[in-house]
Amino acid sequence: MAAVKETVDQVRAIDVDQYKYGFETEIESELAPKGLDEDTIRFISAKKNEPEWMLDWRLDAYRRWLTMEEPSWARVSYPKIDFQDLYYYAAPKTTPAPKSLDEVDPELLRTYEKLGIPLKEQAVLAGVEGAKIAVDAVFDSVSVVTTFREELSKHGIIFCSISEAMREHPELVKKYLGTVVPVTDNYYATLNSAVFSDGSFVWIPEGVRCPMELSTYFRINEKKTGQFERTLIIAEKGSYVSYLEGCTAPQRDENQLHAAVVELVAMEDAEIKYSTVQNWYPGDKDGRGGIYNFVTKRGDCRGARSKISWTQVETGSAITWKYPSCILRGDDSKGEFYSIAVSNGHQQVDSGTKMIHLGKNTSSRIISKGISAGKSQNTYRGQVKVNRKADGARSFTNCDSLLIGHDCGAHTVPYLESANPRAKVEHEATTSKISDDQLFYCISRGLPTEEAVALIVNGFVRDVLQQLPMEFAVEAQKLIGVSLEGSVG
Amino acid sequence: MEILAPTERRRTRAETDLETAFSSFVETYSGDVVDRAGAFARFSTAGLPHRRVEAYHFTDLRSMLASAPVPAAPTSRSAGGADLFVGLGAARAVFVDGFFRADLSDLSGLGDGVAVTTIAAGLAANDPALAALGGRVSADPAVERDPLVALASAFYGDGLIVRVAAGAVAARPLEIRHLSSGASVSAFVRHAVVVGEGASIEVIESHESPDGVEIHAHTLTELTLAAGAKAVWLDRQREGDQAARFSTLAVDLGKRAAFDHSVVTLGAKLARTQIFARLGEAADLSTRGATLVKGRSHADATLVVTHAEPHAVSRELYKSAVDGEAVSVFQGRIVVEKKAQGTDGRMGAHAVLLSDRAEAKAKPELEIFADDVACAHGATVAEIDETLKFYLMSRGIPAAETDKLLIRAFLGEVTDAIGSEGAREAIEAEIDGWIDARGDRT
Amino acid sequence: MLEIKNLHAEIEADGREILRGLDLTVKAGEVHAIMGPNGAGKSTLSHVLAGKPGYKVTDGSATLDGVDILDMDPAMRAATGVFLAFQYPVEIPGVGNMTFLKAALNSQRKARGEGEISTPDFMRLVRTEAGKLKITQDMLKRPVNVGFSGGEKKRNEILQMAILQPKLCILDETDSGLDIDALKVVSEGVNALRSPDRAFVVITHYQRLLDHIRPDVVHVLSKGRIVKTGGPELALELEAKGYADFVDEAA
Repeated sequence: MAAVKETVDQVRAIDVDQYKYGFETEIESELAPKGLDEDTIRFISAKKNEPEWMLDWRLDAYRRWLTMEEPSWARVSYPKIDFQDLYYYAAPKTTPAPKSLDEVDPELLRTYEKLGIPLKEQAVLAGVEGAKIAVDAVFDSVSVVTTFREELSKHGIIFCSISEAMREHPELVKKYLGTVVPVTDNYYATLNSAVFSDGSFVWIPEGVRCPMELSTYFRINEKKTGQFERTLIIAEKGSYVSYLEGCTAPQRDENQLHAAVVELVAMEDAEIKYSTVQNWYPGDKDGRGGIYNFVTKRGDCRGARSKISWTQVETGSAITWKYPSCILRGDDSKGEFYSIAVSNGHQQVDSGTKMIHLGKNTSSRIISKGISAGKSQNTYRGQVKVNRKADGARSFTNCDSLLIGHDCGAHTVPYLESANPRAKVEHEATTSKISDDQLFYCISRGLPTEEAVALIVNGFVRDVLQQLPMEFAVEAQKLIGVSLEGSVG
Repeated sequence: MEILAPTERRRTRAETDLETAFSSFVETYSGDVVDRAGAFARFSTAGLPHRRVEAYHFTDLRSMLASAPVPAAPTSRSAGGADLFVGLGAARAVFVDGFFRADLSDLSGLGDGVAVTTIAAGLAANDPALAALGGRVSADPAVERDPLVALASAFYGDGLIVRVAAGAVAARPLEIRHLSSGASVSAFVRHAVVVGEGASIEVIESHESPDGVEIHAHTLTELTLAAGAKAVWLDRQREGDQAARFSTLAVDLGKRAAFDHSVVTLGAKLARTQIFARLGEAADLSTRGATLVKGRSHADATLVVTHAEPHAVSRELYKSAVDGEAVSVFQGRIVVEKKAQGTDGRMGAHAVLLSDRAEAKAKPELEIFADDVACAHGATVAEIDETLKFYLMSRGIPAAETDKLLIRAFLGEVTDAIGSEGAREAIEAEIDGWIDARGDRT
Repeated sequence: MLEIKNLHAEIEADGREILRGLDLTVKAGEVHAIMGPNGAGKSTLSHVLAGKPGYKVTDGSATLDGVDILDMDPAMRAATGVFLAFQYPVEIPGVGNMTFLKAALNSQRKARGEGEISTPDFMRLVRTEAGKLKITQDMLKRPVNVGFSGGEKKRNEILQMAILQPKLCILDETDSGLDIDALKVVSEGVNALRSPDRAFVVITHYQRLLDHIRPDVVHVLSKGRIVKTGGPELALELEAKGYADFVDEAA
């Protein structure tokens, strides 16, 4: 009940249509010239002092991108994006590469403080004592600081911005970059390959269990700026890492583009747990503004018995187009996808996963909870594919949608393909509105409608919330409450 | 879900065949009331659908159809086929290569208020009522856009027009048999069935052709059920091993209309069965399917069930047993429009793979725009349950028998519910025959 | 009748050895109880004898009237006379109880070179046996075990036993999930089947069942082997003292 109370308090504390993270940071930025051509890419590459091979890689991606068409299969609609009317690079004009927190612009530190993100190394999230979290803070196009690096390096763990990794660990970047999400994978991934500016890089050595949660906080601040980050996480044999990702952006009338690529590689017996709380600005109540979130996330269970688990809480963005996936290549490898997608206002969500079973005895589990309110459209789109050689593969999907109000839509589009008789693929889905009986029961016990809704919704998403690290779960629960604010008339 | 670079549109051999066939075909039918050119244009703009056309993602006609046989002409040749439902005492309309054969048919005894005429007679008389058939097939725009619907609308030369007057009850079932003369042709049939207010009819449709002959058999059926009307429909398909069968049924259910539909697919090299149903207020739809495929066959059942008005109920249950190197495809979409509060929709799609190289693909979709709904779907693909198999064997039933029992039991949920009671036993026997023909494999 | 020698069996998936040199001899007409703590291998023994997939016999033998049963598939074992009353009988949607019983009976008769039973004879047989076990017409009409309560499932197992007339009946925790009335009905059913040419192996965790089905011999199974054998009084001793003493004795 405490958590519910918290949700409700949170809902009360905030005015309708008030995005908590909508403030803007006054900071001077350095921008690339507006628009996109080969010079823009050379500019970005030069800014980052990249090796020649990296520039060639980017240019190759750009040339391929020019031949591609924007995909249209998702259930989202938006005016055509003018890719020449965007800035592809924006960086705070301060110390180029701060060596420590003391060198970071105090204005930036204040921004992250306001967002509730601990950049001080002793700080913790949401009042949970003793939990250490290492943070890579990405502000527009650059990583401004990465904390706890020294402590992590004692374990041989590399946690830094991907720009730095390209300079300091080129062999690792070269070996893995683009091996999970190929350059030409899809329109947005190819664009990202050409123009990505920063992101996080994680390498966990063989047999190491990462001693703390790693996290990246993405913040879009500058106007008319696209954010194209790229994250690469490699877990060597027998290692473990839990990684968290959070995103926010200022409240603006315009739509901003976010096209990220995340690649995960899990070797033998390794495990990667990747959690996201996505809270980009969703636009206002009339559907003005908001982030276009076109993201490609994919994990490769390359080694036997490896495991990749995606957990996402999607509450933000005007448009979400996102399918965190697992390629289950290693025998006995496991893929998981736990998702809560909340849409309200004019938000459009088309999200889900792909589980590709290639190895023997591979298993996947998909639990998706969609909640549509307001005038939003919320689609689950998922694919489970069992290859002919994947003997003993198992896949289970449970996909539930909840509708709140008369003007929203909830859609479920699963693709099941099995070419192996010794595999078992199961899928179940339901769509319903909040039960009148449940609502009445709660109200008759004295709960106001809004609280009753929060209570029922929290029950509905419980299975997924449980998958999140505790600090994140609390945060996520609050967010869901806030996102549904004003949805019950 | 993949995003691929656009490709140039290049005509395939089958598309060229159809273009050529159409240009001479329209001349034969010049001056008739049907807008055939318009229908053909709807087809030829996009051509044969391929895997990037969402509705044909799993059934890529562009790569599967190497060529298209010439359109059929009326024939007096005799036709074979297993006369499965002969004992039912049904009135029967027999079509050979897509054309009605009065000499093989008996449409008597359907009772007062049931009128049956043929499309060919209407075309010959230039019946203006047929003009309507050339245009709109259904209120659902997805039906209009469908390339198979467009093709059948362009090429049809015959079919039945059945009218059941308000309050009338057909005195016996109507059997519609589609047979083949053995010639390699493309046959196109179009039926229109209108059941008046409170009226009812039972239809048993059967499709057969001999093995070894490449035929393309198209049927397009429009069924309109007025308020309170009832129809029971069984569609049994056992085309030959080189045949392609394309069936589309577009059904509109009026207020409190009830439609009980079953489709049993046992043959054809390539089969695509499409059902587009649109439900009025408090209408009741049950559709179910049993698919048994083997060899290198590909069988696709595609449903779009649209709840357009409040309080309608729909139940869809499709099961397939897949042997050899065959592929079974199920695509089912329940659409609940904004007005359709109080919708109750339930869909199940289950496949059992009987061999190492069998494949099953399923895409059960929910598309929901109303909030007061209870909709669900479930889908599974697996082999015969080992636990059940062991239980049966531990009681002394040999492995091969166990498989037969369990395949039968798996499909039983569909066959037990077939609305045409008289036909149920014949269908069960035919399914048993199919299972027995697998031989004693385990 | 049943002769098990040095039986070793492991779980196929992970190679874990469960039965570790088990010896057991059961003569015709006898009832043997096998008791033991959880994880001793009681259910594994019943599964291995019935031929459930997922186990691998690595050593030893099991014969029924001198015939090796371990090389037979489960159907052949059943025809030879092995019957396992399952702890958790599965539900088989779509297969009618009567259809199933008839198919099982005729398959066994066929395998033994006997003719099929006539339908009237079969109906009479089922009606008689079902009546004794308080199995209703409705239960007979329904698919195998579908929608049956725990007690109904167990009674259905005994009905199958009565109709199939096996030589060796293995009862795996038949008492689990039964209330006292159901336990009585089931036990009476079993007792009615006792005969000089039939043997029973009753696997149970508790003494309670043995008040109703009186055993001739009681064995204690621990860590995959028989560690103690005695008369019916051994079961009472176990009930009073628990398994700890016997398990330690074995170690």
